[in-house]
Amino acid sequence: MEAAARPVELIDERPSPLQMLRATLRHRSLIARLGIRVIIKGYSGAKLGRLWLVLRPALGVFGMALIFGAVLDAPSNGVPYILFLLVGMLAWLTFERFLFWATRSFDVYRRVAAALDFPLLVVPTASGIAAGIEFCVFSGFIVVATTVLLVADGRLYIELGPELLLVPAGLLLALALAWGLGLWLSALNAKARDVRIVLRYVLRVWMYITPVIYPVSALPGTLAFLATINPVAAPVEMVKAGLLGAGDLRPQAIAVSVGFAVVACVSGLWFFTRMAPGLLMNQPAGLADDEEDTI
Amino acid sequence: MTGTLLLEGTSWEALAADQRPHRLKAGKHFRGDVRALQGEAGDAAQRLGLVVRTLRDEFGRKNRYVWVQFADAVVPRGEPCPRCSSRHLRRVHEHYVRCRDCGAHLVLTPPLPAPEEEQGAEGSPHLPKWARTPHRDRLSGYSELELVPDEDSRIPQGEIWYGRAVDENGTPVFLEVLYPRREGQRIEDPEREGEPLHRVRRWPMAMFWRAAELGLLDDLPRER
Repeated sequence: MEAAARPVELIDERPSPLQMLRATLRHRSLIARLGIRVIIKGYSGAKLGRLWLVLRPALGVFGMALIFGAVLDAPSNGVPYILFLLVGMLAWLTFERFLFWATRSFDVYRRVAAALDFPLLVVPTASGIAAGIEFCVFSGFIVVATTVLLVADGRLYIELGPELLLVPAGLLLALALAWGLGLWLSALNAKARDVRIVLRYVLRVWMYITPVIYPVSALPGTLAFLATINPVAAPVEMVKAGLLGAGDLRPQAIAVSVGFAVVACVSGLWFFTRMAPGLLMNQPAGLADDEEDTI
Repeated sequence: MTGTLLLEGTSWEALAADQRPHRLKAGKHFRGDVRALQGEAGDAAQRLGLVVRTLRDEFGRKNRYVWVQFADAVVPRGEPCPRCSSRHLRRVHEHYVRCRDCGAHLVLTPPLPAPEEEQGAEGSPHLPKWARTPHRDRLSGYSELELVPDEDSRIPQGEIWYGRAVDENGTPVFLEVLYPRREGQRIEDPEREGEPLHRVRRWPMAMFWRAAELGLLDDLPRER
């Protein structure tokens, strides 16, 4: 009788960051399935469907190339501007799209995450897949632009040497930065939607202060320090240097970027693990589930 | 495989084995209707002595998915582990717990209603209070019934159907019907042999028509 009267002890499990990371690795198959879902769903209502996956960035790049390349005649270190822009955007978008989707991940996957039992770290991490798909689209643009320029100019602008190793290194650095920051912002955005609204404008300004549409050498002396303290500048320059031989590799900038990425990932994982138990509860009012209004 | 909506290469046993979430895609992993698959998942869980949570994920005609996740059993909040009676449960998710002693993966549900003082006074002592009220609303009191199951809400303790009908006064009404389940089966109505026990809630349909006229149902937030 006594045993029956004893209350049931319901303890909230609080895994350590490492335990959460291990559990996420065990559920890695979910990362791809959840990640691709946002892309399929985002374009499912459109007449042109997944063609928008190519059209949308193509229109964006065309507009930027027209304004910055043709109208403003932005410098490009001797490389055709369209190729310079595409390579810079490839590195930037690897960071930007991952961070964008990670921040919104609990808006997008909340219904699934609330109904099914899997480690919540899967949710922001899955955003990397959506960013990866857009990365593939941009890579395709670069292949097309390189081929067209090879035929037109008779010159291969892509460097085919050991420098190419800088490309995966730069991309990995961009991914690490985005993942670390994404862990912070996804947890914060689950509590207050203001985060994603502010992020939209922050990312826009951040892109313009990152040497994506112009080379580092174009920065005036007083602003040159931005290329060193901006953690995304180094990965962008690494990709440009690796693919085009047109990057400005500064050891201090790379050190700042690597240091920032390590701090962002470690602190992000710690913060996310602390916040995880409450992320699906007390959602902000008026939050529409599965919002994909902005792809 | 015959008698199943699952396509070759997929089986309920395999999906239940790891108790992880699985996403099934129409045309690739299963054929036919999504709701029918959800029903089949429930039947498979019963056969395997497990419980299952299913979630429809449909966007457009082409992209029809069902998420399924099996668990060992259901445990109402405040109750011990149904497998080993342990009173030490670890909450691993808002709706899932793990038994500290036997490791069972359990779906956490709302607490059971408080025991009634007058057990046995009317009907079965194990039925909720509303089910023992003699003059409660029954579906047989309505005509022109059209009901649709809410598969997302189907759990071993109950299932909910929504629909419309005309009540005894000739008023069109919107209905919510709850069928409580015990051990995965509907419970027989103690007052009407052969009929399942159910609870009906109704609202005048005029209320919804007026709400639609006033535009209150336009751009309705999907958040409940």
